[in-house]
Amino acid sequence: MSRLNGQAGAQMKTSEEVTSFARSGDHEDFRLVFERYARPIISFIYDMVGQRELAEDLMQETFVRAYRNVGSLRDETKLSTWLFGIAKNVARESIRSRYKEEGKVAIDDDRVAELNDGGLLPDDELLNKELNQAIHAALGCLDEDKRMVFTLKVLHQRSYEEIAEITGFSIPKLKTDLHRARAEMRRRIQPYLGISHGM
Amino acid sequence: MECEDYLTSIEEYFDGELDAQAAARVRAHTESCAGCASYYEELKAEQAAYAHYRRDVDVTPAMWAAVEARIERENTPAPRVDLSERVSPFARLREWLVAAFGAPRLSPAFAAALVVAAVGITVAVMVYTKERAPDERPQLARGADDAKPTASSTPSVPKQAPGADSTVEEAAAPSPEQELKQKRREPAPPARGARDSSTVKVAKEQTPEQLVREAEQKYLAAIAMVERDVKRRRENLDPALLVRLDNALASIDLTIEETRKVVRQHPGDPVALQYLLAAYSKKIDALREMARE
Repeated sequence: MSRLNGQAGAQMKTSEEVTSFARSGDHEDFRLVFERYARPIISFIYDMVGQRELAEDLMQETFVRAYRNVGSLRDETKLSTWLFGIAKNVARESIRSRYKEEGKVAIDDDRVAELNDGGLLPDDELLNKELNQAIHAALGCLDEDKRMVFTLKVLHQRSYEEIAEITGFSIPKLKTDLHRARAEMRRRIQPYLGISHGM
Repeated sequence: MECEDYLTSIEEYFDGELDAQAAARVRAHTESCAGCASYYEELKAEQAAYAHYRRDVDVTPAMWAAVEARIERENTPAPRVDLSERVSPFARLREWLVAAFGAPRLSPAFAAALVVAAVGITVAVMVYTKERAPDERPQLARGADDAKPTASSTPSVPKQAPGADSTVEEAAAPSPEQELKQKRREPAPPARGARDSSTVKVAKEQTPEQLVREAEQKYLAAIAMVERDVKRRRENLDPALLVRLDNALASIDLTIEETRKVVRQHPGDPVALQYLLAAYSKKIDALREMARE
């Protein structure tokens, strides 16, 4: 089997080619699915759990489960939604097993260290890094449902209908969660919006 | 409709989720209301910031390799354990293992007992091989040097059954290699063996290859049992932990395969034997970890 070439996006196939995996369950077709969706899936999981290594592990688990359960994929045109749904389950299981008490994610400390490493950075880059860090930290402060809805809508541009399908939430609930999540995020990142450049 | 009521509608409008009629109503309101227009602009600015959000993650070829390895591992049937063959020294232990196969569920305590038994086997083999090692190692090394002209020592018979070297009898004058084989078949000297009578008893009755085969079967039996238990519990494990343990198991399986090849090529090498059994032991440890979670 050929290996992933490291440029996942560079070899994107059409939906028909990718979703042929849904029909065949073929190993090689599955590699194409991985190439196409690995990046959005790992990004979504990272947004949910906030830790790089954990996100990498959970992304692997997501794709293994997808391969294992391809028979349950009824509508092959919604492969992406289906994968996000699996990723949501995997991330949620991990969060609940680790943070049962508070439902919050931990923030990678090395990112903070990276910001404060004393290196000389151009102002814009430094400010953007600070904003980036603020977004990351603010995401970690949202509760699980709000973080999920906010991530899917604002960071992954999913429609309300898709979010409802992925999360199992009703449309009114996700609208409410999204509105509150936006307000919480705004409160935390607003100080950085005024001073950042080029974003 | 008050401005406060428009907030969520403005967000829906911004998200492109309103039908044409509702969108027109919100648009009309924002054109006449500075506060709501400002809120709309605020949403745009925030979205621009979020669009540039960079995550500390990347997709690497190793990730696909890991996924692929796990899939292939799941598609590969577990090794079948043949417990029909009987050899005397560990017969009772084996019967115990066979009985254990019938157990409906493997408790952690039972799994631990199995591991203790398996480790005991390992220790016995290691003690035996260490006893042999001072005599054999130099000769094994010489045997390797002499391997080319000696047909019986070449890896051309890699599938020779463990312990089957007793059937390879040459009629010609004994070579150093044959002398080594003959020496292997001889019982250990009494003075050295007197330190551990149980080890000597085992050594007298079986070759190292047979001992390893025995130990291997015990390990495989124990592994099969713990695997069954783990299979039932997989759903309850933290997915991240599951990934790490599966990767560890895949790595151990690879080690086992590679070490098996070496043992087949050099059946009397105590170091290779120890590596093989240690790999089995590690696999049981990893499976126990999964069963315990």
